[in-house]
Amino acid sequence: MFDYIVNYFNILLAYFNGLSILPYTLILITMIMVPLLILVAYYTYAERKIIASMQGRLGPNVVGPKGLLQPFADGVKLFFKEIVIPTDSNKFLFLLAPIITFTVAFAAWAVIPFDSVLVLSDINAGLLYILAMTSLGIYGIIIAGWASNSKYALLGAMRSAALIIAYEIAMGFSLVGVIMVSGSLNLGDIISIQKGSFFNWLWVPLFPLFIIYFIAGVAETNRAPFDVAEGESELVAGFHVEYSGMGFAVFFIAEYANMILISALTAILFFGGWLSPFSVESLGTFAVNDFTNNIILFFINDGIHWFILKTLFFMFCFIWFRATFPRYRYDQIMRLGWKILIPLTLVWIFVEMLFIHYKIGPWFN
Amino acid sequence: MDIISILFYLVTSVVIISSIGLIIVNNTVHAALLLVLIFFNTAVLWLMMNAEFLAIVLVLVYVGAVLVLFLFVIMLLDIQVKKTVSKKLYLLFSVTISAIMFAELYLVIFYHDFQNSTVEIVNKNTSNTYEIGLLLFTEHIFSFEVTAFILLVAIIAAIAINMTDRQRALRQDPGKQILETKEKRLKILKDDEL
Amino acid sequence: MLKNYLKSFFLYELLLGMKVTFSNMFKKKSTLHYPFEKAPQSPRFRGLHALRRYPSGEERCIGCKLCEAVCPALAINIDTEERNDGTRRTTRYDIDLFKCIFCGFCEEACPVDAIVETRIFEYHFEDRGENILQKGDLLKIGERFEEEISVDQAAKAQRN
Repeated sequence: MFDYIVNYFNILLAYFNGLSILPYTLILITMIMVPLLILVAYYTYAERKIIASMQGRLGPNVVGPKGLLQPFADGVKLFFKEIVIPTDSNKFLFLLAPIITFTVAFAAWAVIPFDSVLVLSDINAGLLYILAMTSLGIYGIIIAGWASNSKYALLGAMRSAALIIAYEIAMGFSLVGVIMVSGSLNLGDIISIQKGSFFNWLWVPLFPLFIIYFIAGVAETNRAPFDVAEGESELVAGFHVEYSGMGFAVFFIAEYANMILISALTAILFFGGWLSPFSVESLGTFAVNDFTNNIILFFINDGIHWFILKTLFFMFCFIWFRATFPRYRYDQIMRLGWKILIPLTLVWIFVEMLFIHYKIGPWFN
Repeated sequence: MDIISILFYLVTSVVIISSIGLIIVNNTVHAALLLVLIFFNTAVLWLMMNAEFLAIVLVLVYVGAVLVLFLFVIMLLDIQVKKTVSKKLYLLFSVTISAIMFAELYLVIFYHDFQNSTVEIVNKNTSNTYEIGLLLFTEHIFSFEVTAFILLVAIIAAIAINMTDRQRALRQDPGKQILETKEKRLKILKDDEL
Repeated sequence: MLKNYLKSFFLYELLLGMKVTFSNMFKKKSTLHYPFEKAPQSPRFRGLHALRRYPSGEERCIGCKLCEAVCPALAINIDTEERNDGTRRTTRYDIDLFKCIFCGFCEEACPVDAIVETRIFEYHFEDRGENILQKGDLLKIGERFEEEISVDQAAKAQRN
């Protein structure tokens, strides 16, 4: 059954291949964008629900069954709200900032491989491209902070900029570890060297780097416990205080899209992307012709569902952290970034260097 | 005209216009943002020459880090735009400097024979990231390491300058705070101890 | 010392906290679905104020101004005058609900159980000035909820 869907999809792809390149690419982009936007909408719902249940509350449960229509209600509300432009603000930049943030947050998805074939643009320097795109996201924040003509917004933007620069280094270094193992910047290649089973994935040899990458990822997206840029107790809401209606909504969507991106990247780099956690040998016990076995086989085999599952797990972690940890103080964040995470990554890169030199490690078989 | 050359002219015109704008605009923040635009479009130009690694690194390093720091400083400083003191003097200097620079560029571009310089065509099968890495760590290893060393010295110098009045500054040490334990700070008194 | 370092290095306490939140996720929620479900109220609940009347229809308030004196938020304003039959009655009895802190002192101070606090807590204002309850409003509330108020007053008396 599922094979048919995949087959149909491939036929569809082949058909689109015949069209000229531009509409074809546009269709592919919508095929990524639309599910992503729906995922963002339901991610906000999931966040509210999960945090509520962790704090002994119920969360949204009035709009639609179990509150399932809540994200759309929020969207409609934000869409119809007035966009207030502060006096003496730089109007052009003020309106440009959310657009930049949004564009950059979604541009990074171009190189994410969803499956061995499903990738929009399979470029060689994919990992670098993602790093470049995520580092551009800071412009939206910094321009929003400056153009709002507000002290709070500017302070929030400054904090966020310093935070992102600091943690991008730790993030980059932990990616260096991954690149050293894979010998390639292509995300597809990085996944294919992790072939095997659960313990062949890169999180085993690169465990510290995985932890650091995820911490840095949480910091990069300005999420709790690193959300000093927002800091509602001292900065009201940080860089987007002055935004209302759609401006705010666009920032919000971009933030959640970035969270999903970091989760997807963690799944790809350290948890083998679309690879199945079961080794191929254990699959031999199933008879081929049985229908139920076929379904089980489909789920056990490599495929996009594993990638989605892994991504969902890390997305859950983001929410879990927010429900658990109190906010870091600003100097503590800087200390953690510069004095702990960066030296740690350097140490582990050195250890990995020894691994590679003496050819010990799971990736040498 | 095919789509590639249309793209080329579009991108180069954006680069040139924003370069002129960079010099003309009064607002420093706008100038810095125009610089971002220039870098970005230059990256696109490099991408069109299949130098994807260089293009992305340009975006990553210059746009993503260096210019952010520029903006950071500019926004915090709140620079007032002042009227130029003496326009004639400015004009004299600017005209001289630009004339010299133009002459130099002219010499470089028109008297250097680019046509005959042999471009070594790298193996199409390997990515240019790989080729650049190979070159950096073989042929140019010495200059590469020297650059790294100079940057290291610069980092240490910057930190050293910043460290001088650390003694006087009021600040908490998170390292010490983390090591505090319940036993050190809390003492539970019994009734008879009160 | 070393133990401390190791603990913070392996994120021990963070994981502990995450365990707590995760285990709380599946606990039964104690939230009431407010407009549909309401928490039980004590007979001593201190909500919106009301002025009561005797069963004969005569208003209880004798204008002694004890409530005005005891009010810690200075929310009550009273003017009195002699009525034709020679008794003292209020001509003005204003309660500013923005000032009121719902402490219930007025109710306790009242010698004739005239001013009481009812169980009403769901109310709103639509215009400026509506926050000041005047004598007529208070009496109206009292008339409307007299049954409930008298039961509550009896319960309060029993408790004492």
